[in-house]
Amino acid sequence: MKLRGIRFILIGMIILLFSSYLFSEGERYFTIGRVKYSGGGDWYNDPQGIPNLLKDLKKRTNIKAQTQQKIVTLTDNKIYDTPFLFITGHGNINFTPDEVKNLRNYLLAGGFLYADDDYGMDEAIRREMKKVFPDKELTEVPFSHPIYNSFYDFSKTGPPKIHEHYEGPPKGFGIFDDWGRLMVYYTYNSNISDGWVDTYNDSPEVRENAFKMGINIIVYVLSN
Amino acid sequence: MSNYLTYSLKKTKLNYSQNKMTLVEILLITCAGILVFYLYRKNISGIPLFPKITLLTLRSIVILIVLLFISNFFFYKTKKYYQKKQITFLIDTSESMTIPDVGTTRFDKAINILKDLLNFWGSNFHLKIIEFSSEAKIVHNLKTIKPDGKSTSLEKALSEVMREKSEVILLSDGINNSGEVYSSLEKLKETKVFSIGIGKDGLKDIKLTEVIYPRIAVQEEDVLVKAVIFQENAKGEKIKVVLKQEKGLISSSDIVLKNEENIVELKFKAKKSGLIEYQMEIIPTEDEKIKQNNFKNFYINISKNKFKGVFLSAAPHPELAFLKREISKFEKFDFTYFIFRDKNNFYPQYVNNKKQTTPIRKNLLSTITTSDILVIQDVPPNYFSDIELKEIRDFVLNKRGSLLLLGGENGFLSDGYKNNYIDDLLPFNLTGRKNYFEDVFKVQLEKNNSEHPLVSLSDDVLENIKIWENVGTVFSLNKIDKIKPEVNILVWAEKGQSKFPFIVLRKYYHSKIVVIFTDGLWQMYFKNPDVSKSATYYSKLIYQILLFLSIKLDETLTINLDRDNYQDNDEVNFFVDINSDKKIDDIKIKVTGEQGKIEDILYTQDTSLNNRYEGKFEVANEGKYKIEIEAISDDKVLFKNVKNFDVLPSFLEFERTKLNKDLLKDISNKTDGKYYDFNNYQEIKKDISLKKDKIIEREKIEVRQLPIFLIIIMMLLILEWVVRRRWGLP
Repeated sequence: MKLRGIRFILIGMIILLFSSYLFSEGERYFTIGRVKYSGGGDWYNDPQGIPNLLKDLKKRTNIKAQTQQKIVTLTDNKIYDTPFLFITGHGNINFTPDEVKNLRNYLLAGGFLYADDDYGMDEAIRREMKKVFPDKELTEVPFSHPIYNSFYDFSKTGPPKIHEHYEGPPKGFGIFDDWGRLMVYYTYNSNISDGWVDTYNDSPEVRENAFKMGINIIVYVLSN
Repeated sequence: MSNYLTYSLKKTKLNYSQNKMTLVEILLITCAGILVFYLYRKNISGIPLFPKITLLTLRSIVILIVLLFISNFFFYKTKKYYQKKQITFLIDTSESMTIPDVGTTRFDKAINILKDLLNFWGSNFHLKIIEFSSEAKIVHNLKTIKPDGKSTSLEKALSEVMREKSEVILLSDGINNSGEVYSSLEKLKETKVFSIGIGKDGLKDIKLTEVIYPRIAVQEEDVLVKAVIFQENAKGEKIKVVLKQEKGLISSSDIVLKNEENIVELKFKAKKSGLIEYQMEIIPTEDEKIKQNNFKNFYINISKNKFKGVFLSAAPHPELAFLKREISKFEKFDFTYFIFRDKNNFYPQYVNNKKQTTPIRKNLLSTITTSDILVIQDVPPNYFSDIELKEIRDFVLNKRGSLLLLGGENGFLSDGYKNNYIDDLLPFNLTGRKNYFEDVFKVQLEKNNSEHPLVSLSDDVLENIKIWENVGTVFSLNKIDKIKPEVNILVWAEKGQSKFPFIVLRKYYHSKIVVIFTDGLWQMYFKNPDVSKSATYYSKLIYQILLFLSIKLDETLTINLDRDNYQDNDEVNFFVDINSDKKIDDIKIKVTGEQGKIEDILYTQDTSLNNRYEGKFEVANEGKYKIEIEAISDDKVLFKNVKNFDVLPSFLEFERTKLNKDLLKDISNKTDGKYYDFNNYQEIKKDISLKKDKIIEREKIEVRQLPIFLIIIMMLLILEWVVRRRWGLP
């Protein structure tokens, strides 16, 4: 009985050690920071989306990634732990002056922001990005841009349509730095991130396109 | 007196142990005393008490005196007497004393003051006059001294009065350019130095003190060179600074000298590549006496302006994205990126958003071999075939290629690179232990390498050190401690008391291998809140590293001297750089002047840099000199070069000619003396008193030397004999 108890403790300790090792290994791998913002636009929408995308990224590429997202506010220095931020929702977004300043610094220093309109975010994201870069415009990203061909080929179709919220085709807009680097990528009438969760009964083809475009965006950020 | 007694007894004790004769004497006397006392007691029993005590006392006194005599007992006798005070004059006869800025020359003023003081004090003191320039000597005839055109050594002057108990009057302009003054002052014990400063602002001089320039620059790119100009008595003057290459003007600037030290910036574009000699010159003004310090020569390695590189990365990674982004900003570099998708395939490639042909495996080697530099970012060793590793080795060893290894989890694993084709190229030994750690390390520039071009974030050394102090921390590190001996560690990563190499350079004959032991440069840059500044520094660091690795100069032997011209008895320091693919066994050096060959030449090899030698020799006379150097490999002369230089008449005395009041004041204050300006020196007449010195001398007198003691002994013995006779004792 005594022997079994000691054995049990030893196995427990080994598992604990091993799991902490795994955890520490994963901490330094790539992840996505989900931006928590004020204004009431459901920043937390589809919480399983990013973990699902990261799991697929690990399966399909040799990029070392965590499978957990980071929740960050724009005034938090944690945003500098990852080069990739994601913002989504439906409705209003309101960046404070500090958030505007910090996001601008982050993006100019090499950070990337992917914004996905999950319906009703268009006006707010355009307004807030104008605060961040008053001198720059959101312009449509041409299909020849590497973001459409960094891993999978979307160079003929552009961003895939997952859910239609408005009339017309899906579009991808961007803000570029002075050297031509895409700092902000914004998908409109596409809603790629909805395809990363299984709650909307989308067809496998539609979801596959959502994962492919998601992976393209990450590969672009990490290799260009 | 008791002290003397103690001392004398101690001394006696010493005598016992050291002087055998004295010991024997003491023993004999003691034995004799015991014998006398014994015989007295045995043969003269029954004598009355009074004569018995008298005899005993007399004999005891004799024995005591004899003992004192033998033990060399001594005491001191004090003598007092008075003598005339000694005053020593130190007269500066160096070349700077010919400057006529005190109504007359400084030297004439000094002589006038000396004569005035001598007249005032008359013959009431002992006089000594010493003249000094580079040497010091006693003056016997005042008419014979005059300025001798030499440099000034206050050290030599002060050492002449070091052992004297004297009051010293120093007549000088305080311009000291030979020897160390302060160490001499500490040796002055009983000497007070009264200084009389002779001089005012001195001559006008405009001097090029330093040229700040990049060691390496790129053809057709702006090169910034700074001239540091010192002015004395030329404030507000307009001067012209010119930069020449092979006697042709390439840049110039007119400035007004506003401060004591002025900085002029000149820009130019280098037209041809190679090791180019430049000359910076201040055009002398009409009334400038010293023109020899108006120019300086220097070399810049101008490299070609386009380089090809290959970047191999294990996978998409923030570090890759950061480096690729920065490299894309440098027009000089044309990189091909191979980002492994798996062991055999690569990701599609875009450069500046333009699609490139997706790299294929079979093109990897041909792309590498036509490049100048190969960057390997954390690629696991097993991603390469043996043939590829062999080719990479050949690229570095035989094709003058450079290698930049970036850290990470996979790249420095011992199971792959150890014992494979590139193992011996690596600057470190792999141990087999896990070496990648995520932690916060402070980055610190290795002090000895603060001027190294690879880590020069500013052309100004002090500014470079300051930048590195603020460069921030690194968040991941390959902790490698087995660095190979010949490797140059340029930057350290510190954690508490431990420090690990962060950026290292290994020169493998002509090839250069740099390792950065992290995959977190992106974080260093990214986490620095001051984006505008850090972007410049990190970008510059990457640029410097790539440029340093890419530059390949023609095979040459260059000779650099530490100065552009010398004065007699100067030490000449020389540096020899041999840029060659072959190992140099030794160098042969020959220096000849108009007076013949210089034999005494010392040189060593600088082990931190391949094929670099440095050495020194002295030039005794003015004239033209020639230094010839041959590089020897396998008993054959591989390279030969000659450099000429001049040894000019001394102008050191005219470089900074303003009265150095501070030094003279220091000399006086530290010796309890006083400083006077030449126009109010009259106070010295009151401050130095000619009252005769009271001399107290103590004379040591030993008992042995006093005949009175012998007489006393004799008298006591006679008295003892008389007593015995008186009482009829035998």
